[in-house]
Amino acid sequence: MMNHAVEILLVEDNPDDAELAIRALRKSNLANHLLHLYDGEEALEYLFNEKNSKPKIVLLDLKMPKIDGIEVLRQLKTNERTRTIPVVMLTSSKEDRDIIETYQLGVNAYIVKPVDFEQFGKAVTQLGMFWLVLNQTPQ
Amino acid sequence: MRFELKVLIGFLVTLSLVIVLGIYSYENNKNQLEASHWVNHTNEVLYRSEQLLYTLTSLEAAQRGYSLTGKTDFLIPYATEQDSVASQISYLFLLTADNPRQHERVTKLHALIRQKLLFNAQVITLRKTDVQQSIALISSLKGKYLMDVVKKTFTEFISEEKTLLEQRTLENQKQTAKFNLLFIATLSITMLILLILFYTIYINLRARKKVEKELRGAMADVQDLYDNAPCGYHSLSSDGTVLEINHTLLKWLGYMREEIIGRKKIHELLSLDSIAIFQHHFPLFQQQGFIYNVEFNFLRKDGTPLPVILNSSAILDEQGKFIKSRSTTFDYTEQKLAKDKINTLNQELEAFTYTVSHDLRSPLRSITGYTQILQEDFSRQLEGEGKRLIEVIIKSTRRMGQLIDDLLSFSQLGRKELLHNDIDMNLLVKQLVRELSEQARKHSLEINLHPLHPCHGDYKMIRQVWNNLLSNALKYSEKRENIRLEIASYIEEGETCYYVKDNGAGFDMQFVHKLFGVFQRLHRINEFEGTGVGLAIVKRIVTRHAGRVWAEGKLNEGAIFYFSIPNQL
Repeated sequence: MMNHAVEILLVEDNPDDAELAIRALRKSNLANHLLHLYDGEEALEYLFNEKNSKPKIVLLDLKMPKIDGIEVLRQLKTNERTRTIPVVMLTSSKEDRDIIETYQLGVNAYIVKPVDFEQFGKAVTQLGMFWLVLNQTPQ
Repeated sequence: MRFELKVLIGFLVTLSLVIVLGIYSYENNKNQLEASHWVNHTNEVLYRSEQLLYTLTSLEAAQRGYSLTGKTDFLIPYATEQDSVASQISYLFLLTADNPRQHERVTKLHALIRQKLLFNAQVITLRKTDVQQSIALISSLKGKYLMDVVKKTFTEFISEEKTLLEQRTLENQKQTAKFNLLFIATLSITMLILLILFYTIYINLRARKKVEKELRGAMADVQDLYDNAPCGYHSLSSDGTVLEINHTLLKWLGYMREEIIGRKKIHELLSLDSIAIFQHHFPLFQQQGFIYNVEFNFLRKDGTPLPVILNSSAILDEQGKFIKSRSTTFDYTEQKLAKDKINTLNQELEAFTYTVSHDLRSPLRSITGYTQILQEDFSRQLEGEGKRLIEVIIKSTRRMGQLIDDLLSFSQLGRKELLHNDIDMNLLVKQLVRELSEQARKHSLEINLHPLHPCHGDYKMIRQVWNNLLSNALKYSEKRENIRLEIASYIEEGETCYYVKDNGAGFDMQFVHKLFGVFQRLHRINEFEGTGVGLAIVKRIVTRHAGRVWAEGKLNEGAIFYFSIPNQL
């Protein structure tokens, strides 16, 4: 996978959630260029390595061990190179206090992981479509 | 009658009596003087007339002596007194000018005396030349008769004057007796009034002294209550100087009274942040006259803070100018500790629910997700019973997700800051009814929406209340052919009450106390969906607005749900 340009970077510590998300994306043929990383530290290492291509979208879980989603977002948005990458936050509930903070940091969207897997699949797929197919990011 | 009026009237009466007495005495004195003047006058007349009679007698004696002896020595009185007779008569004439009868007598006397003196002169002249002839003239008794008439007239005159004198003296005595009687009577009345006045004042003074004593006792009581109340009291002047302070507050602060009163300004006793609050509120307070439940931090003498809750009212003079404040302070230390503890607990609770919502939802997602995969990808390998079991799992997890969401939103309600909006209930309910009736389109729906009173509260929360009540009404009526809702409001004793009435499944009134509890349901889950949080949320929101919720219902006949919002929040 490292040989291909990564289009979607999924940062998610919960393997079940990750598997379900990947499965939903795969169903819509969006998972071909997907890289799954398990925590914030890995994500930052990958994104700040200039040898790696910039992903078209980052799906970022909010709560993760070591470095959490908010910290990853902050570092991405303050770095000149990674500032323009669209970031979508994945959260467990829309009541999260952190949502406001993520908007202040410049998040592009967020989705609440629904308990209902069907809805979750739909949400992830629509999001993937929007950012990968329709949205033109400045290069 | 009021005491002051009594005393005034008594005083005025006494004063008038004294004035009357004075005038009367003056008048009487004048009359007395006049009367004694007349007595003197009469005495003068008597004296003058007797003197005249004496002069005449001595002239008569001189004439007789000369006639007898022929010695000219006897004639000396003629030289000295004859001339004075005329002046004596004219004086007497003057003196009797006020009395016509006596005046007439004096005129008569005057004529008689002149005749008598002429006769005497004739006798003396004859005696000088011819003794016999003179004797003959004397023997004619003309002189004697004349003298008798003169004497008689004098006697009449003097007797009349004496009668006058007696009359006048009697009159004078009567007048004096009358005056004395009246004077003593008036004086007695004056003294009596004075005595009554004195008694009244004395009684009043005694009553006043008694009241004063009682008042002093009451004041001591009040002072004791003031000083030893379980709360602090103090008063400030317009520039913030402490004018009064009670023992309790002194004890709390650790100061002596002398160190504070008139010496310290309030900001010397406050912590820095409280000085700012004081400077902001004090001018406002002086204008509006009161301030309620402000939190202040006093600084004790040892520098430690003393948190208090302060209430104060301004004492104004008659022109409305600020004189001083009168403030009550309550030691807020324990409440503040409790409040901090509550805050900590709330934060812990929030952290807990946050974690619960995250951590419970995550495995739940996995269960639904993987069950769904099972359903989608492996349905061919599953029997009918296996498929039904998968349905049950999916349904149950969905319900659990709903329960967690509801619980989370319920727990968040208690911590959310209450906003204050003026709410047009008509607009709000109309919008909601439109949205909800679209969902219930398949039913015949009749909504009777009366005009609603506006209310004051948190718009989002109140909207949630209506939403829950209206969706409940629809939900529990959905088995009816014709759904009938009635929405109305009325005002009652300082609060506005709203209600939603439906003709749905209703409930048994013996379970009414369970309606508003969390996760309390009166219907089986396969009858009506729901988690049993909707009405609990309604109750919590209304309670936070200091209102009430209640309900009436009858099984299978419908229900009415009420809530009220106080008019003054």
